[in-house]
Amino acid sequence: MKRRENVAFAFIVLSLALAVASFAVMSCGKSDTAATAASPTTGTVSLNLKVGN
Amino acid sequence: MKLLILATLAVLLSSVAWAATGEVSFTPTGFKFPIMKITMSKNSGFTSDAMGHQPTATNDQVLYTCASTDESQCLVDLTSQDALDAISAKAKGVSVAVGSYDMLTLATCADTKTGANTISVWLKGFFGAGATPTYFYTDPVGTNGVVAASPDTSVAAKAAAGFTEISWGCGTKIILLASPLVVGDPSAAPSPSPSPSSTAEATTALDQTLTVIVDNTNLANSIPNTSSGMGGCKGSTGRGLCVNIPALLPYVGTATVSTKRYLLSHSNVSVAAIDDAKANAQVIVPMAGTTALTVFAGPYYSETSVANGANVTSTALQSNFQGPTYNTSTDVSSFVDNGDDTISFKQGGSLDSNGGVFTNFSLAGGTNSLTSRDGTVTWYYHAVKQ
Repeated sequence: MKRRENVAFAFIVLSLALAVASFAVMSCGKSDTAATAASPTTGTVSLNLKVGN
Repeated sequence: MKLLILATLAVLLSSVAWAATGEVSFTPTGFKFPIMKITMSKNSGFTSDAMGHQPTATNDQVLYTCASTDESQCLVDLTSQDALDAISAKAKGVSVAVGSYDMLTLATCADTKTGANTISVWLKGFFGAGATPTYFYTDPVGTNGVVAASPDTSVAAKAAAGFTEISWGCGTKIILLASPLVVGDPSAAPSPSPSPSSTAEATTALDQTLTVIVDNTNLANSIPNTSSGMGGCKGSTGRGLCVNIPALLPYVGTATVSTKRYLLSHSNVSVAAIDDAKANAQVIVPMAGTTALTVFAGPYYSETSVANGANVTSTALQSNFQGPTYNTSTDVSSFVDNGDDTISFKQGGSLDSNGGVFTNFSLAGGTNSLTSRDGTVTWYYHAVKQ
């Protein structure tokens, strides 16, 4: 019985740790995305050549 | 006796300065030209040196590169929309650095070549020369590249025309934009933690289109007395051919434009003295609605046109109708749409003292005056809308 409780406790601790880690990664990702969108360094140009006469 | 000598001298001088009978501009039906690379840059300023008024390219962004380093494998028929579409397809959505760009450079030779090297361009077309025209066509075989049509009709000349090879010196063609192409908003400082309101601020689009009109009108000309050593020409004696780079008219966006064209004749005496038959220059202006986008000016030849201005300060009789020189690039950076159906621009660089300064050039055509770049001469001109 005691052993089953320990396993359950370990599972809960592990789940909490994973949740915290996931939140940290997601937060970090959101922060990076926001910074990149604010200061793009590249764009695109399309050349459109037309005969004029 | 003195009068006779003076009269003879005047006639001789006239024959030198006036265009020869049979000299004629024509619009080619084909013009194969090597396009090795097209680069977009920022002009950081003009130089004033022995070479004239040259922009300084910075922040180069290559938009197109030919897959081969052999110019003969990179020929593009500049009169063919299909050929231009093929270039456009390869230069679609090219990744470039955020920034402001106001010049295009078109390289006609591989990077390893210099101005001492030559390549070949190929010209095709036909034309009638003379008051009662004799028709000619471009000949792939003959040494002068041009022969009279037989029978002497425009239909026969058109049917017989083939591509003829013309030697061309290596170089680059620089074209300035009248309005810069801005990718993104280079003036905006990056914000490390943008507030929600910042997303509502107006920014310049990151994805842009640069349209370039390639105008071949009156691009080629035939001279009855071509001499060897004339750049962009074919023939060492007798009637030959000459060709130039087309008018390249860039503007930002994809707006469909209409093109206004004018032939210009001049007098340094008065408006009344202008003779339209002596027209020796053309002006091309692409329009988006009522807005002029940019301008191109260059020489024009007809059997009655006067030679292009070379000695603007001369008051000799033969110079009275020449006007400023048009054998130079148009200083597009000086272009202004005045918003009242007129434009202003300068021809030539700052060191081209015989270039023209146009102020309030009417888009409706008509008469006006211009000054030389050094301000010493006033020319009256008549712009006849085509």
